[in-house]
Amino acid sequence: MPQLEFGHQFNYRPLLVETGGRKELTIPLPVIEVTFLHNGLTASDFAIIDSGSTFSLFSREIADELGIEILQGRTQKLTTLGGPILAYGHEVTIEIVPNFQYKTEILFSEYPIPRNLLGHHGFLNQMALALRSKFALIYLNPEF
Amino acid sequence: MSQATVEEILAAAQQLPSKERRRLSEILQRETAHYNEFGSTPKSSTKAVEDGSNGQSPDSREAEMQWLLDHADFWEQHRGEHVALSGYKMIAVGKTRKEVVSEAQRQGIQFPFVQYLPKRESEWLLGHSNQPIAGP
Repeated sequence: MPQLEFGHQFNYRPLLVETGGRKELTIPLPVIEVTFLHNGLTASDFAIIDSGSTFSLFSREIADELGIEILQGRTQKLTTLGGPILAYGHEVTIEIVPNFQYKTEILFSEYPIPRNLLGHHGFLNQMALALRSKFALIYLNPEF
Repeated sequence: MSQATVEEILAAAQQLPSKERRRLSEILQRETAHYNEFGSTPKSSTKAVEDGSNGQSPDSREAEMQWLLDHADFWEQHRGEHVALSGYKMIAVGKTRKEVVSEAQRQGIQFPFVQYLPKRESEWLLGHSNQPIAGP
């Protein structure tokens, strides 16, 4: 059986949610802070690791903060649990583990969304990942 | 060196700000879970909580989220807008993230917590489990 080694460890974090009219915190979830670097500008936000998502999808507001004209990106229609949305792909540099940056395509939603997502493209296809939900721990290692 | 009693530690913990109490609670919960499984205290996971996981902010941002939960009226009044917070304090609210981040930075807060307050509950699931739709 192959054994993996991980160089980075993160804690789960709770998120805000509204269900049935109630506003509350979720249980701690696999959420990571992502920093974007683009043309000398930076922006950071949390994103939930979603292994069921094909794409890494962030709110258009992050692109605006980075000075990206989102409509100039590659158009991608998506079906999602909350309904269909339109998103635009842009090549950006991201940093998830300290001092390790990589360039990848991230989709930015046409309209603001309350949660950012790290899916297959842009995240899971770049990292070895292990989740230990019992201890609320995420292990990561870049795989290039 | 004399050892502190549980009562002394509890009294000291009660003096901590709410954010620090939450942090302490997180550390103890993880240590308890690890002890129950392995019978020892986890050095690595405790360190992750204490030093912020490889340079990440140690702050889980729960104080900011708690402020939003404690101010439901504010939330209702500002649906469709973005709010910037720092600790248990609202810094700015506005139509765009860029606007509220700029205001926070003007006030010396480099990395505020920013939350978009969706107009509808269903928006919380937008993007989840996304799959491409083929075609133009």
